[in-house]
Amino acid sequence: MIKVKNLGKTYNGKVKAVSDISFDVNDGEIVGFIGPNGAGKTTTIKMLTGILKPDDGEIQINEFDMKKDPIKAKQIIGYISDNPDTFLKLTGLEYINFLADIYKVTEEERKERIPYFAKQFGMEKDLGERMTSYSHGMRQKLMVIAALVHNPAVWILDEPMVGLDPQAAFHLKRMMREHADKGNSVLFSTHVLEVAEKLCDRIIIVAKGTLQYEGTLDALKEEYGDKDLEKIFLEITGEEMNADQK
Amino acid sequence: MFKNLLSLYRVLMADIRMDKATEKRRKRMVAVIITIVLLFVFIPVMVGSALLTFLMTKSLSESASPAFGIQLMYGLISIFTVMFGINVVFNELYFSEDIQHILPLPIKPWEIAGAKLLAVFMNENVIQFMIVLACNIGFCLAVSANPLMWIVSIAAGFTLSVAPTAACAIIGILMMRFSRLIHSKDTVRRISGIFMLIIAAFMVGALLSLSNQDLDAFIVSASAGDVAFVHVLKILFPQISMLSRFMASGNVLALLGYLAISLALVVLFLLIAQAFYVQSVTGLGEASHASSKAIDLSKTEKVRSIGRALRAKEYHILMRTNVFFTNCVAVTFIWPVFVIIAWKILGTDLSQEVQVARYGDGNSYSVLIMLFAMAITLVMASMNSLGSDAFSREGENFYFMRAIPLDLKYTWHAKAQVSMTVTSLGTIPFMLGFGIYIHMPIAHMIMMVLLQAAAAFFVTYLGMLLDSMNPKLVWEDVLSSLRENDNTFFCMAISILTAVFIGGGLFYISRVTAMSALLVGAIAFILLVIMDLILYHRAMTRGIQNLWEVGEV
Repeated sequence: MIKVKNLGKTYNGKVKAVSDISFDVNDGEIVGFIGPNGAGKTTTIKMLTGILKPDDGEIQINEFDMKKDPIKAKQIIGYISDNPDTFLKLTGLEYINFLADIYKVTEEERKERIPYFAKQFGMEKDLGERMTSYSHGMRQKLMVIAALVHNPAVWILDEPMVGLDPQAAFHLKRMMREHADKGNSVLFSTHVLEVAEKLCDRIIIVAKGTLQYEGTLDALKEEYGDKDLEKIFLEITGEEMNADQK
Repeated sequence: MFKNLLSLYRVLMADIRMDKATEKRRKRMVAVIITIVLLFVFIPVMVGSALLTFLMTKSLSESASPAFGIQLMYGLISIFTVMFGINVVFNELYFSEDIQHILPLPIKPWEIAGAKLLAVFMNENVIQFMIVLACNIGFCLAVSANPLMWIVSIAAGFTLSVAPTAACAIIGILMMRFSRLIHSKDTVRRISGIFMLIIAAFMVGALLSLSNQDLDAFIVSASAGDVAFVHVLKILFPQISMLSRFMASGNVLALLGYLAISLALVVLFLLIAQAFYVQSVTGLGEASHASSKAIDLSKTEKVRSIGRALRAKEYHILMRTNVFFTNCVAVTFIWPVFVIIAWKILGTDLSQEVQVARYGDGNSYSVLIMLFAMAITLVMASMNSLGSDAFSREGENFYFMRAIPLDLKYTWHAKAQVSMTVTSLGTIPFMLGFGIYIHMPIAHMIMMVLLQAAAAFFVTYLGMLLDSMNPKLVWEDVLSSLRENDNTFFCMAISILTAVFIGGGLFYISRVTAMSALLVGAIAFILLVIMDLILYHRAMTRGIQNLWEVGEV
């Protein structure tokens, strides 16, 4: 479960990146975090994962407060950043084992999980190679495997589908669903509205650092009548108005 | 005609710049460090260069070649420009990540290559500019030059590095275009490394050949063109002879000849770039890898402690990244070669018999060895940049350390341990070996090791503290994380100053008071430990806080 209350972040004392955002991601839910570029999605996700410290507000990951108990809160998060170019001089397996060491994954758990994930993402033959030789998609798959190796209860994924081939994207979406169905929480950011439509139990729309909508897609569609999702999104985020003005 | 070139150049220079500290406290800290470096490093080096040129020119004023001194200085500066330039030119023209974004732009190849070369020239030659300026001032003072000569010689001096830099770039492009041997970036890096070694070997050989001559005889024969080293310099850099001829006699034709050679090399470079740059840069790949084969995943998992995992990650990155391996690891181990060469040049008798007698006999020699052990550790630990680049070398991965469930102190300690281990391995065994060779008493050897360990700690924590304040996390290629990181320079300057103050001060005191080497070592050790404790405390409080503040404002 993720609980976010009145979250705020200002850069350089001037630029308000996130302002008074509150939302929950309940156990058993997949929540899509949607917004145009510069809306504050990545800043929010970085605060949720402890990379950035919020200026205001509270973040709770299951029973742990990110401010008071950051180590315990981070221990139960599986995080995939928006940049898969990480420690490229390591082999895929070295990177996974490095994270497994940090998250204190036992040998038995590794023996079970690493081959399983490698097979799911078609990476069995590549884990012995250095990541410099990987394509963007392979690096992204590896980030997914490494983020899940400690079997985290809470998944926070920043644009996880970018670069994945259809097969890998399918497996990841299936795994997200299975993970949520086991009573865990998944929050992911995306630009692809179709993915959000098919996968999410609820969506959160942000624009200009503030929360614009939180709820189910069905409720949103009902509210906006017969408009398609793209139009609704543009209207909520104010992008349509900008486009018209131009 | 040069609009695209200059626009691109401005973008490249803006990209190279380090982020300025925005917070008041950091601004103040950076200002203090810059002032220290200016006062105690730059100004003394410039004054020294000017004085050396002045004295050489004065002593040669009656000879047939009054400009021989400045010609020699120009030659040495040009050699250093080539030595460091070849690697930087390759890096900027071929390895920089921005190439993939620049190549698709509708800009001509000569404009791209020209902008990159100009960026290299302006960025890499700042220190050369200052030394050349100092040398020219020294020369003009010595010959009582007229105001016009002052202006022209100083202006011409600023263009001294143009020809060597352009020559490096021409060699680089031709090698990349026509050599079938070069398939990957790693191969190119190795070749440029070998090239640097060849030049270094040439310099060492030349210096060794000079060691047996007295200065007067050398100047006479060199002025007559009889010294091979000077003769080779004249062949390699003909423009230098012309510039120095102008300096000596005000010969305008010589000045025009100098400018013509520099300009011709630049034009030649642009023509070659137009013809070959794009072909040579496209298709350049990372090192090739063996074909993929399945590994037994069930057998390869080993559980390690967090500290060991972090250290292993650091070692893997340092050993597998060519730039880090050569600039941070290998460099720590090669200093004994230069020390032995220096001794040879100075004509020191290195035979065991003489050395044992010297150490056992004279107090000052034993003190000198003790202080040398400290100084060389301070210098090498700062030269390898393992501390001062500890966070900058993470680049975009920096924020990873804040996402994992780990106190940042663990990461700090792991990086510090790796830095201290490499530095210690590169310095302590050599000094111990020398201690055994000269029959140094056990107590002296223990003190020497303690002193070296304290020195390695000092530089590591100083460097990491500096780097934590304003790490250079955005860089286009790995070498830039080192070369464009001001923290490495600041750390080196402060470490050298520490070596000079503690080493020089204690040596002077020992001469006055006849203090033993052991006592001198103990005092230096106590001083370093006090500074280490202060730095450790700052690192664990302010340093960790700095790491949290990166990217927050």
